[in-house]
Amino acid sequence: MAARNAFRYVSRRLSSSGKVLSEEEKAAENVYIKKMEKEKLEKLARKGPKPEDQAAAGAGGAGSVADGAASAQASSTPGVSNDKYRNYGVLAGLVTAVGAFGWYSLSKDKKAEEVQD
Amino acid sequence: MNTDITASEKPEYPVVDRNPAFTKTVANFNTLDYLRLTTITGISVTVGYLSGIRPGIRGPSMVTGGLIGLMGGFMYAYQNSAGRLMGFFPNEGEVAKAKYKI
Repeated sequence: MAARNAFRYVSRRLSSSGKVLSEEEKAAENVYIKKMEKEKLEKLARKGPKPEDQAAAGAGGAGSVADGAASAQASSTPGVSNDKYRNYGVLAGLVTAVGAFGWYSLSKDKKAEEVQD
Repeated sequence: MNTDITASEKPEYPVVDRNPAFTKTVANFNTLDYLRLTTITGISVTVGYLSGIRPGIRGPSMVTGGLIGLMGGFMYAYQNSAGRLMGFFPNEGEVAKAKYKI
């Protein structure tokens, strides 16, 4: 019984976005999401029908970690990513990669010196 | 009040400073320490960004991840720097610098 309850709890947690919501909360969330989507679309429409797909494709090449982000912002110049947070994210990923490489190579040098001694 | 920092294990490397001050330890950060700090912060920011995509809080989640990474990275770098000064970690650089000063 306890095991079944636990399984149900875990599966429900995993199925939603990590939170167990009651029906009312779910409904409220759905309404909110719909509202936000509508606002986003309106914003896009106001900025004019420019192809934002190109900007998304241009930014995706730099860091594969940032893929999957739905870029909702229209770009004024094609080929330039205007998604601020995503740019920061990609930058952080690159810094991490460079830092990890430096860390790895520096600690390796030290070990080699120790062996020589 | 007992504020002595004698450890249960004896330092196996030359002791440069038995009880280094905060500023001295931070000033003693070497390239590897800064790389540690940067890498840990970068990982945290990236993970914060990625985990914030689905709930739509990429910015705040990235900032919070950055704060966590900065704290952890600084503590890790501080631990290494202090350990080298106190002789618990390999400290050729610190010993050479101390000799040069004398």
